[in-house]
Amino acid sequence: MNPIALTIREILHRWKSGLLVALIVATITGALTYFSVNNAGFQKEIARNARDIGSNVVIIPAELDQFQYHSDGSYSDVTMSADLVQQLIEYKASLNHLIPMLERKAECVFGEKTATARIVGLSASIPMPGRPKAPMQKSIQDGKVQLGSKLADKLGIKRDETPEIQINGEYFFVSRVNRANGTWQDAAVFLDLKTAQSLFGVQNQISRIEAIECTSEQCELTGLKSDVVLANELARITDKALILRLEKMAAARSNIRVISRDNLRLLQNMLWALLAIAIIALSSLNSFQRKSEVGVLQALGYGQWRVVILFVSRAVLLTILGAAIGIACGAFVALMQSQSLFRVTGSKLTIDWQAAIIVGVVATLLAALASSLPALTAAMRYPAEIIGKEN
Amino acid sequence: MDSVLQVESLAHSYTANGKQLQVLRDVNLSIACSKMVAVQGESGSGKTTLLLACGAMQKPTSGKVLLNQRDVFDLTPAARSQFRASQIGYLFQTLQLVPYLNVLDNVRIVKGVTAGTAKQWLERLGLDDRLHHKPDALSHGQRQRVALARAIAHRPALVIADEPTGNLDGKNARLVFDSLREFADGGGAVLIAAHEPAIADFADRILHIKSGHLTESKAGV
Repeated sequence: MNPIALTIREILHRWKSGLLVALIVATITGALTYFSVNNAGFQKEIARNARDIGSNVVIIPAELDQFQYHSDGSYSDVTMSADLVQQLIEYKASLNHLIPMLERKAECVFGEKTATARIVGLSASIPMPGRPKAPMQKSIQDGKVQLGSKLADKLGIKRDETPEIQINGEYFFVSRVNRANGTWQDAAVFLDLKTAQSLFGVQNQISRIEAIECTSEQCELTGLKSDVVLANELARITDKALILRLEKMAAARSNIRVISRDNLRLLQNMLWALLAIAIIALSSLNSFQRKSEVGVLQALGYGQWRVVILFVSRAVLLTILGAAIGIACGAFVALMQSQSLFRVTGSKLTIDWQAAIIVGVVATLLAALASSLPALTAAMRYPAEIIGKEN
Repeated sequence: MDSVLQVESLAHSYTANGKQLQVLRDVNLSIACSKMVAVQGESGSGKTTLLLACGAMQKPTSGKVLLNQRDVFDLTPAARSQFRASQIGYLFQTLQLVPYLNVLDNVRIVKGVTAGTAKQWLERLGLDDRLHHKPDALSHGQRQRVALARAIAHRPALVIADEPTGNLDGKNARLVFDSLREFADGGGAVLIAAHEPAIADFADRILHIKSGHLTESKAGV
């Protein structure tokens, strides 16, 4: 009789234990798949939140008086060449989301009201080649400005209004009044970098470059700390700029990512261990419990490999069934939940089929291995030794 | 007449609780075709060990078991498995039916047994209305008869039956003995362990085993 036909008969006969095995495998593979899909969303959301903490690196002109710069609330009229941005990109510095800025203080006029404010010209954030990311800063339309909320209050402009204001003698439409964020930005005007350069007559000049550090790879490679890695890189590019690392912000960003990554890795490893233990225990238990059957089949002329196929096919069939149910349910629930859990990135999540296939294949291989070893060991002995002495 | 089964200087011992127990001592036995040989002895006398060794189910400590002139323990495990399946029909004392197969398939599971042959033997043993029942739906006596059908349906050279009539009433016991006798008369050899006095009416020879030694009380023809 065909071993597969025998296996199906056995599964149908002991359907309760077969169902239990399939359900346990489904639960664990489901949890692993759910975790895998959910993990992708969680990582994206953490990365997005960490990015939104803001830039943690500032590159300023080397000739700048840092005492004055800090005294003036991170402001200076001193500029440097905007070519530095291109040099950093060509060098592939350990940075991302580069935002070159030009800052000046100027009078803003709206009707009868005037206010002297920081005018910030900036470009959209520039991703480093090979590190593509969603933009951290979008470009501002030419001829339009965005106002900080307190400056808008001072000029008497309400949030839903888009009037024309005058800056340094030129007129600009207000495209948006930003929400208050509790920093100097609430009292500033934002416009496109090139527009600002033209407005203040400083072509190809910038006051600073804000960026996010991406030093983990270099730190691991060189064993150096982030600030040393960045300073070394900049020193190789130019001597006309220096780098300031916003220590607390950089540490917070790094800690969030490291803690969440380590925590997720621990959880994932635990789930893999659980899957391995459950499958090995269930598959080998079945083979151990049916040892006397091995002896009987041998006595009836079933060779070692036919006996092993009988036991392996049972474990593999039930594991494939359980894994298919688990992966489908786990992925479906994770996708449904991610929409509400991760409001921004959740809708973009997709099932990682590669991870799902790995879960299924590993589970099946474990089942095959765990069931084959006891069956093979039993099949190598004399039938009477397995069936047991009767008298 | 050529022997189907030839046992030479068979001995078997094992260790239990640190003590060496000698179960079989210098056993010599020969069964020719068309002969039915019964072995009797007290519980623990070594009957089952002798039967298991003769059926190539357990390797003895020393001695030879020749089946149709071939030493079964000289074969590779795979070859022995094939040889055992084709040459020996074994009826275990605990029956060992496959619980997830029905009566018909429990007989058909043996290589070379067609559905027709299986049906024929099951009908001969009074199980024609139980063909599609699983073992757990049968009485012990019915299960014994299924195990007997499985042991003889493929027409092996030798059938070994370990207490095939234990728990059977007189009528059913005679039915089993009669079937085995018929098998022997058809050219096969039978080695059977049985307590029932009725075996004397069917067996050609009756052997007694005591403390691992074999003696004969009814000489064969």
